[in-house]
Amino acid sequence: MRTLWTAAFLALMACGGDDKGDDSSGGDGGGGDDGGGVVPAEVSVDGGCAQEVRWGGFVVDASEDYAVVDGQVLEAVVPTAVLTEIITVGDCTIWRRENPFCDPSCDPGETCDLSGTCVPYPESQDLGQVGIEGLSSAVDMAPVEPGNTYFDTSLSNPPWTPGDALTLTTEGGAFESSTLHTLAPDELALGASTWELTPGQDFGVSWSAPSSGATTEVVLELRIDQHGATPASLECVFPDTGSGNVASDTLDVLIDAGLTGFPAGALKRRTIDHANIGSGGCMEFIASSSRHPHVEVRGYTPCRSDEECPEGQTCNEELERCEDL
Amino acid sequence: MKRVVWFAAALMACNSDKDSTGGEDTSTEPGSSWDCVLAEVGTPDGSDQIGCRDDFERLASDPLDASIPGAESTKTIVDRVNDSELVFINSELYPIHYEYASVFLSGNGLPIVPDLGSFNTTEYYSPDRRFLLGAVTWYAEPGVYVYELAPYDTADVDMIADAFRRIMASSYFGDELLFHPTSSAIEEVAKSLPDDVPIITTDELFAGITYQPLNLGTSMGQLTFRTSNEVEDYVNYREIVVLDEIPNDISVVAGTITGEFQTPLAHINVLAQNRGTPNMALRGAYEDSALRALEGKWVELTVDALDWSIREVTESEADAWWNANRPEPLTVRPMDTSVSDLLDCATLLDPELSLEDAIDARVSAFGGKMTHMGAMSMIGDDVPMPRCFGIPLYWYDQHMQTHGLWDAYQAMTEDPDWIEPSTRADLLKDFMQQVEDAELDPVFLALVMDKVETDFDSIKMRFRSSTNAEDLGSFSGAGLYDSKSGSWDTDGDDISDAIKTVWASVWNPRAWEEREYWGISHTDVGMAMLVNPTYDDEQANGVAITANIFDSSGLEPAFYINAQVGEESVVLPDEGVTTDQILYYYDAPGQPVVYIRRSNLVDEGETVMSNAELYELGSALSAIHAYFQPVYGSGGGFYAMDTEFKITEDGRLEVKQARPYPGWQSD
Repeated sequence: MRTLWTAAFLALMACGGDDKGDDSSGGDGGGGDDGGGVVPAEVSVDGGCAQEVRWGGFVVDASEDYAVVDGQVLEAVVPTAVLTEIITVGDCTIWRRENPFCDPSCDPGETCDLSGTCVPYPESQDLGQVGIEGLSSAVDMAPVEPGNTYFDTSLSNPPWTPGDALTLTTEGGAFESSTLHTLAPDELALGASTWELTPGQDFGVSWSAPSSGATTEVVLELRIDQHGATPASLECVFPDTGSGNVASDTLDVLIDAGLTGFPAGALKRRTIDHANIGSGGCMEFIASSSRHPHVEVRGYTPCRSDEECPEGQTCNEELERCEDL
Repeated sequence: MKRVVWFAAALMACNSDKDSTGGEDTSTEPGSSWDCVLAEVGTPDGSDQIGCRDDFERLASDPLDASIPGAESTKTIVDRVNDSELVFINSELYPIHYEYASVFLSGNGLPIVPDLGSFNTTEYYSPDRRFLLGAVTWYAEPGVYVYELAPYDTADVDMIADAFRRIMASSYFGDELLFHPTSSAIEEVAKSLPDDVPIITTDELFAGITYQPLNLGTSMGQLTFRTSNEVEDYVNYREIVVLDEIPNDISVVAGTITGEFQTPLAHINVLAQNRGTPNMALRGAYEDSALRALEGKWVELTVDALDWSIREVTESEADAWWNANRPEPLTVRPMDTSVSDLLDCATLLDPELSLEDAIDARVSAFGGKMTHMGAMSMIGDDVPMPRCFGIPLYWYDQHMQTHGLWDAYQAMTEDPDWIEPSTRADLLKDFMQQVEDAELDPVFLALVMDKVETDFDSIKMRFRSSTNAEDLGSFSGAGLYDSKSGSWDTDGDDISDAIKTVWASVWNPRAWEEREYWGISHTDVGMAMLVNPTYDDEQANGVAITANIFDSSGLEPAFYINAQVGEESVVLPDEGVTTDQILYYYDAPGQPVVYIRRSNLVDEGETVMSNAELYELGSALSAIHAYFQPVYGSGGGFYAMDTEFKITEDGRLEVKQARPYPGWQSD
């Protein structure tokens, strides 16, 4: 999952301050499934990495149907993962993925950076054994090749007791050992199971309010170009108050950038922590409760066959969208 | 034991060992010890083996990119996390790898497959990617199975060789499998492949292909054989013509078969697309005995993506078909003769209007070409273009009225022999001469001379046709009219000649016949002009379409570019001359370049345009595509702009035309 922060939040939370590389929160990583003995009230949850230094991270996500742990950390930032802000209105930002040009073209194993220079494509790193404590059952993961991927898809759902401290530790890998903490978020419930987006209009979204004192935030993601041609993406990071607003200015930019396939959306309540790693890198640890509404865009019909299209339109089955005859 | 994947159908796997003797299919060449592995009922999601031709056909679909004709393709995926398991994907059910991977290779003990955006930015580029993505394609005419990667895939030698060997070991055609590099970058990597990964180049694939579908469709007409020289004059519009070579031009006909391969942007194909008539190339067609046997007979010709057919029909069948399929008359906007000012391109359109309304407001006075140039000038720095101005069709109408030419035309059509095509052509040629011989209004000439002297330092200018019945969304009129250069001189003779030549070309017989075919009223058509400096000693020129014309779905976005050195034409090349035909994946990381064909006017290994020139052109095409999309692409279907460009003597890119691309009208 690509996570982004608004400019204001970045200013507050940018990495480079504390260094969690040596467990700045005091956890010792030695507990069982109780968060390593960490007291939730004492947990310092310091937000995410600036995208310019985000080398990767780990996510524990509990959705409607299952809970998973997923993680990967690279040796640097993939240049095109640093997105350009197009427009920010309220809590929402439209980002654009750049496509730099290198001449001559880069060789396999290289990628073009934003200044037009070929650089080695960042490789994923072996972080040694990675453990997560505080979940209903402890997780202990080894890297899987290729790609030094970490995952566990055998978690119970929900995998935690809301409010509990979660502690992630890495040990014996490419970087110094790290310990990161988050707090298990309350389960999120959608205010409406269907999101109806109308070009030219703001979109209001609602969700269940969290327990009092929660430090969570809520992230909204929309994917309306499911075949991926557009370089534009939208992300909103709302304070966890139970409602948020996507301004038409941002929504329209996203819609104008392209509509293909079956639109999808996600709303995620999360807590997020980070630690500095390597030489100038940053790693995240996220715990999220996510829900995936049905998404409709007025005037647009996704399809798999002609029968699903309104009169006067035909189904482009590859792009899964109805188009004018 | 080999496992066959049958997820969606929830059927039991059809197990088969390589050495099994079960299965009735006999089409297992080229391997000898293979049997079909897919059950005869149900719809498989994929298979880890292809044991026979039937297996392949049950998994294969038309490839997304049809730039090399006669292909069927099944996508392949090697999951390096999951013991490097290989799956041949049912590519009708899952047109892109992600759709399969996200359903069957995510969770349940495997890593989660991320969203499509993350998948696309990792799985084709990362050195430690999880998946090796590719396709096995069958090219029917050379009769070869090849393994291919997406042209933007940056897989290294080990990845390619690994996937190739797994496919080889898992398919009945493995012993004859070849690797086909699909882009310049992959060609470079392929040079280091080990010997057990044999290569076939695009040129070698083309060499084995005899059939090239250009414009798909079905038509009925009378089959005739003509040389390219013979079609310079009128050809009956009910003929389906077999040509020895590619002609420079051809009047409206019911269909065309050329004995030489064409480029999709060749004039003959642009005309066929405009007219909605089937067009194909078949090597040796002019001498083909099966076709010769039908000479002079009424036939039905069908041009399909993979195959073509022809059959004899009766004349009454052909008549009935024509009556049911003749084109609806086209209506053009009436001439707007209220504007007499010469206007700069940069100020032609009203910026207060929507682009669509602004174009509508000017086409009737300045014609399609000039109006689109005016629109393009509003895009900004991303689209370098020449300074230019427009001459409204007011002056054409005034010329026709002042010299009684409208009346002369009317009188000419009342000639009893007018209905006879060759006589009509002669009369029209005489009429063109009358238009050219009539004196140009000196007031108008002075206006033009002053404009050229004041704004362009009296340099040589190109006067380009821009009627109110061309470059429109419904009708391109490509190549119907003439353009001519004129040098500034004190008496204005050269410029006067150029202007009158362009005006007279309204009445060239081919243009007249084309309009007649479409039911366009000839006297509703007026000639305006786009005027820009001429290009001397240009380094290159070309035509570019702002979409991948070989992928009507839009899943493989790319620009299609034809480029040639100097001033050699790309749409009307001299006999034997080939151009660089390029698919440019501008939006993909690394901007991969696919050379479908190469120019034979540059040294072997050289290209007409450099990477930097292609990138600058790509940036301009991207901006043009986006800018005109609200006008011509709002319906969501295939949309593209057709552009012309130059690389000038001093190496500057200039885009000198943009108009809506007609697309595949016969589809």
